[in-house]
Amino acid sequence: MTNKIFQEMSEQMRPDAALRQDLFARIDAGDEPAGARAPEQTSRPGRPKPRWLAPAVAAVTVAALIGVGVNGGWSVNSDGSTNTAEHGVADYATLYAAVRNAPPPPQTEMGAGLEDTRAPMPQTADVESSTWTTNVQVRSIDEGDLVKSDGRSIFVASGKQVSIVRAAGDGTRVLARIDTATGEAGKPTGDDLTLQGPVVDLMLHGTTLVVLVTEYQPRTTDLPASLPMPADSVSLPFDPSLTKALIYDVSDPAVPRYQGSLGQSGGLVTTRLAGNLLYVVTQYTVVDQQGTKKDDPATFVPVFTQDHLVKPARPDDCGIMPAPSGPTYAVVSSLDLDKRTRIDSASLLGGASTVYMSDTNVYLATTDYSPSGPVAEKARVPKDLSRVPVTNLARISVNAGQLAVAAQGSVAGRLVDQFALDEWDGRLRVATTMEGQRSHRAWTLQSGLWVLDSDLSLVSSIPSLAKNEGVRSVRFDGGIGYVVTFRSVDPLFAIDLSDATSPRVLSALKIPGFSSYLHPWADGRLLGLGRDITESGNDRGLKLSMFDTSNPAAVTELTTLRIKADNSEALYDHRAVLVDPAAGLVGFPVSSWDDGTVSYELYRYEPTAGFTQVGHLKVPVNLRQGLSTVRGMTIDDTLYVASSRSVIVYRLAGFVQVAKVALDK
Amino acid sequence: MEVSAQRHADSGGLPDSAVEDLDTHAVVVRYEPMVYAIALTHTRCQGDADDVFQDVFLTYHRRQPAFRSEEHRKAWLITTTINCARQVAGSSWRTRVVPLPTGEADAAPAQFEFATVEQNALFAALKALPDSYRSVLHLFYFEDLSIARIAEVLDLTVSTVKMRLSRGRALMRERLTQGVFDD
Repeated sequence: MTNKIFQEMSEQMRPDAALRQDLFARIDAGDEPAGARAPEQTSRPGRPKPRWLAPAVAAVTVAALIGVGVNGGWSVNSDGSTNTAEHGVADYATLYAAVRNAPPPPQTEMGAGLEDTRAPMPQTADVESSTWTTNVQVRSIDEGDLVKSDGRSIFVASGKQVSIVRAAGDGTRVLARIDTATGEAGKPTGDDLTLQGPVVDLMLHGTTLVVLVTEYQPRTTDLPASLPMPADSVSLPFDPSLTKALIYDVSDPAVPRYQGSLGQSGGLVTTRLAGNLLYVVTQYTVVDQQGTKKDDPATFVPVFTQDHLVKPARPDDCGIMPAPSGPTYAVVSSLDLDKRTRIDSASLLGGASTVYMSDTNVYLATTDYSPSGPVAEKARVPKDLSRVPVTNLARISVNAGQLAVAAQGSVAGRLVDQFALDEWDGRLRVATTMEGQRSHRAWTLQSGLWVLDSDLSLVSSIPSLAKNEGVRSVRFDGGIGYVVTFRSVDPLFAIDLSDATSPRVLSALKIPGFSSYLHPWADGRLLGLGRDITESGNDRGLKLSMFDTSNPAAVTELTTLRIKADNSEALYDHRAVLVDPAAGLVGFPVSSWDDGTVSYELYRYEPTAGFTQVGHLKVPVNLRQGLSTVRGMTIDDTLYVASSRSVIVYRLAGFVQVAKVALDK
Repeated sequence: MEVSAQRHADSGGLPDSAVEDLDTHAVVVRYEPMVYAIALTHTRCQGDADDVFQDVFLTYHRRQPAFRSEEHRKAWLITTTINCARQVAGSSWRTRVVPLPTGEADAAPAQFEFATVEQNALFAALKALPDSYRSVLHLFYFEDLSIARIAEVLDLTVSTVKMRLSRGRALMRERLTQGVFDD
């Protein structure tokens, strides 16, 4: 019986006949595989290829804004508030109808919620200080992560626990452990079938530690009509029902004190900290669409909890996107960590998978894979491509914790990650990849750059920045945007965005492979970390690059170091990169595909010597997890490498291990 | 689970077979089930598996590598498929568009579905294993490769293969309540 099942499955694992036909057609046409196309004949490096784009409509719009006396900022009313397109929804009946009429929710993987609950790409902000902080996107805004530190203690999330470790060189030791599965924190708000999952995020604000956990409820609507097997052998998917911010006082880190929780419906997307205000973004899907009841708002709107008190969202705190692709809300709430209360919330029916926060706005982005004709047109989908997805954007204004949905808009294509969005001088810059079908069934992609105003309407664009190439990484730095696109050769575009009405490509440096992560180093230098792929498509491993961006019209690659490693968490999560330009250090974990082992690599960059390896160390990881979370931090001439299983301490001078603390039992 | 000796005897000291002169089309026809099956168990969704399937054969066609034997060709296809799947899975870590052959509007990429709940559970459990265990189990159970051959193809020692096979089985056993993998 046991061998038979593999045979039966083997027989089913066959590609579509159409797929094979398409393959034969491509072979006959001499098509190239996706990872190994010949380099395009585009501009040579060093020779700028200006593309002036100032469509008449955009010029008129800008002129009108200027005429009204707005200096490139958001349109502001006389009382200081910003214009909002929606002042919330009129009543619950409207929301009830919108949820019932939305397309059905997508199928999720079995048990997906319980195994890997890490949120996609939050953004982190750099804080100017000498102690280590999470590598973030926007300086003044911190991002949640599984490892946090204030320079004296290191907080590491590990399953349902948080280990609090004293960072003290060779005296490093575990001070305390928070167990979210026990006590008040461990009591799910939901019913008996609710499970509380592992810690998904941490945020540190002074002496307050916020630990985020998600509660899950089984999707009982998925139970088959008849159960041919014993009930406990049926696997049900679990859906994230509520995410709670558990607040702990860690003024004495050896004695963490639980103080209460503030929760909101859904699974965690990301968190942001600005001052003493914590912003929590979750995504909540109304799984049982048919079971919603008109007179019970809690069945079709998100709820908010304070300890065990539950309240549904108010209609005027809700919004509805023009064409929600499912009954999914993006839920944003602002929490005052000093007072331990919720200030405001904004729930938008339409969902959000990418979040970018600037000092004054939270932008939510979601991908619509089948946009309607009018939406695609408004988003400027290229006319010669079909089935191109569209990114729906919402701008939520943030004012001392007050949230309001201020604008909504769309751009063609999808975002590679949160770094594809950036607000500067009152405008939003967006880099997208448009993947679509040309008329003769061939799939292709191109990269585009868009500049939107405060209403999220198009000001200007470079709609085909690179044909046949997708965006791999983006970093906006004030008036310049750096975009890496890739086929097999990696053009690094430097784009002049100082004039929002006419962005222009200053230079396109072409190098093999691609950078997945870009980081402005000091003095007109740009650091890139990515894959080393030859022109014929061979994946040789990873590489570190340093670009000279002092003259954006002639960006050059100063030096590069090939790293013999299969993979790195840093290629997918910017928080895994340690960048310390002051000390000239770059650190990140690398992993082997063969046996999943992880080592932490530390490099030094010097202008004359280029990249040299300072050292590397093996990191014990949980093999049952996918890509483990590993963070390196430099505190006082010491490197601390934290994972869910341990904190390993190295003195930088001489790169000597001085301590190793186990966090699992 | 006891596996009879005959099933996994493809490298019991017999010489490798000479490499046949096959054009790409013939190679596709012969190895399509193997490549697609590996693609399915090593990627996150069917769309990714479809991409890997095409990419592997296009790469094969473009490179036209020289092989010492038919087993060598098979091994090349296996390792290339696994590597390609890893790269694709890596880039799927974030949202990734999957072009759908039909006109359906899906907000999430489609999963491959088997005929029975049991088969789907097995598939899900296999996919949930770490990379290194999954490859070994797949080649052992779906491709009937011997432990020695698996070691050769994946460039591992025989003892590593045995260890991954037994640990992989243990992990699978935990996930599935039915005794499919019980020895």
